[in-house]
Amino acid sequence: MTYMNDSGFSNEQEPGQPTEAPNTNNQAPPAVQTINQLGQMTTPSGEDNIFCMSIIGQIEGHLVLPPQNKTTKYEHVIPQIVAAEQSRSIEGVLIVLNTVGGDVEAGLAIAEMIASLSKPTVTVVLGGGHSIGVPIAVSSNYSIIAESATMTIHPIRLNGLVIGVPQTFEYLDKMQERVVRFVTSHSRIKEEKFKELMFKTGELNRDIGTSVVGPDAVKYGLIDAIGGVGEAIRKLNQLIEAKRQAMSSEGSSPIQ
Amino acid sequence: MTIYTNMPIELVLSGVDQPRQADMEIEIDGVLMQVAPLNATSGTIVRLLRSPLQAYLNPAYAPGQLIQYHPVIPPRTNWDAR
Repeated sequence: MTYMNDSGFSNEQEPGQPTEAPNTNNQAPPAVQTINQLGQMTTPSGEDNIFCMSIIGQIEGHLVLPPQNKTTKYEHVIPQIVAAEQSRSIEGVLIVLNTVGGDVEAGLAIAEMIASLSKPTVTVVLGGGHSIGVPIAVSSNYSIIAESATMTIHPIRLNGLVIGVPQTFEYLDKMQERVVRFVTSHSRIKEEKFKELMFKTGELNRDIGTSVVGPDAVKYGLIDAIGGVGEAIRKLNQLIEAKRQAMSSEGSSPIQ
Repeated sequence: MTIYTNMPIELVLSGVDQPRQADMEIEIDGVLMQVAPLNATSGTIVRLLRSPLQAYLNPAYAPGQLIQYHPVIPPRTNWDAR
C-alpha cells in the first residue's frame, strides 16, 4: 500500500469512520478501506452541479388525467425549472424524455421554459418523444436521441365538441402553427420538411403522420446527435465548461 | 384544452368521468401537498400546493412518492373532570 503516500491521498478519516481499522489499511482512504474489508464500496456521490429532469408518459396540463395514465405534471416541472435556474449549485440541466405527448399548452410551456434557461441544457430522447414531446426535445441547447428511439410527428386533433364551421379549421391551423414554429425555430429542420412529415400519408400512424426513428431525426435536422446518457453528460459538461470560460474571460461575476 | 398525443384519445380519457377518492392536504416541513390516500396510513403525493422553491428539486416530494402518516385521535373524555 505504498502508493497511498505518493499519490497525495488524504489520510484523514471521514467523520463516523472507525478510528481503529482492524488491519493495516488505516492509512488508506475510506473508499479503499471499504473495498479491502468488504469487497465493495459505496458509489461516490456525484457532483450535483447537474440537475436531471425526466419527462415521462403523458404531459398533464389543465385536465387531470385518469389514473391509468403515467403523467408528468407541468405544475411540478415548471417550478423545478425555476428552481434549477435560481440554484447556485446547479450549472446544467439534463432532460430525459420518454413521452407520448399530452396537453399542447403544458408541453409548449415546458419547452419555452427549457429554451429560456440561462444554464446549459441537453435533452435525451429515449424510447419515444412523440407529439408534444417533439418541441420539448428540441428546446435544449443540444439534443440527443437514442438510436432506437422514435418521434411521431402528426397533426393535432381536436378533442371534445367540434363546431363544423370553417373557423374551426383556422383555429386548428393556428394551434398547429404554434408547434411548427417552435420546432423549426429551435432545430435545423425546415418548415416544409416538418410539415411534410406531419401530413404524410401511407404510414401506419393511425391516419397520417410519420414515425421518425433516431438516425432519421438527426438526418432531418430535428435532433443534433445519436447517443445516450454518456454522450449527454459529456456534452453537458462541455457546455458548462464553455460557459465558465466565457464568464471568466468576460470578467463577470455571478449575480449576487 | 387540446391533447396532442399519439395514444388513442379514448384510451387516455377512459374513466375520466368515474368518481375518484377525495384527496387530502398534508403539510410536512413547510410543504403543503395534495395527497391521494392509498389506505389508512399511507398515500401518494399528487402535487405540491405551497412550498419553498427548493422543495421542487427534492425527489422525495415528487408526485407519486409515498407518504406515511398515522391518524391521531384526540382524547374524547377528560377523566380528571369527572
